[in-house]
Amino acid sequence: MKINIVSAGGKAVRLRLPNALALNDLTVGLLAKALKKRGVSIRRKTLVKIKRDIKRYTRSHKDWKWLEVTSASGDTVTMQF
Amino acid sequence: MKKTLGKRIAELRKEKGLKQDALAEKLSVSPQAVSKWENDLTCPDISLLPLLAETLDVTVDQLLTGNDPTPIVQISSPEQKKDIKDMVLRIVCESYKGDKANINLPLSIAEALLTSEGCSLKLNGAFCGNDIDLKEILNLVHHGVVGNLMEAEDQKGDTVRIFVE
Repeated sequence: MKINIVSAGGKAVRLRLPNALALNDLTVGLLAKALKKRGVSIRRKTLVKIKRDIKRYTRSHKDWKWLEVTSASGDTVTMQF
Repeated sequence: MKKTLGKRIAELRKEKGLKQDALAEKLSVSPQAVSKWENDLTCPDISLLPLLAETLDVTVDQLLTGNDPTPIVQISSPEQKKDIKDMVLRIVCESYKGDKANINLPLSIAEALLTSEGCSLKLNGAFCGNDIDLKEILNLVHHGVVGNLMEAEDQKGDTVRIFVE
């Protein structure tokens, strides 16, 4: 998983986390618990399906940008898997 | 900050999973030429633009200007309908101040979130997208409707566009 935060001035923070660490059964379980605490009762089965779909997409679309946020001043945040 | 032509070529090439050599071969140019385009040292020859755009699956206008495509709405027949696993839900939110957010979500994931009990996928915040019912949009897709499904703009100038490809 790559999260890139680039300021308009060119300063950048690049976070890199292996997908196997970001997307696994443990993180799915932790996420399900965290969501439950916040009142979102999403089933573990659904999260497992989402995890599988993310992995499938990541394999076929290597540079797929899942999220791209650009501020008016030129700061950008992108998220890729 | 607008991207340069070279950056757009590099980005589109990577999205397609092509190496510089492969793109060069398709266009019958040298890999060095592609490298120079991507580093904004030179520009592709004008006669190459249609083929370059076609190879990168964009229009010449998109390639040159970087403008987002605004696909028209299409209704596919059951035979032409793509598998939901191969479809993408794109949500583009732009504020009148110039902030922009693009969310590119495989439709299968959006569907899993929307159909899960007690779970909702909503566009919250000071956007005009607060009342958009994404479940209805998903229903349209199931009926074979794809393309630019929704465009909303509020008085301030914030916009939300939703398209399915």
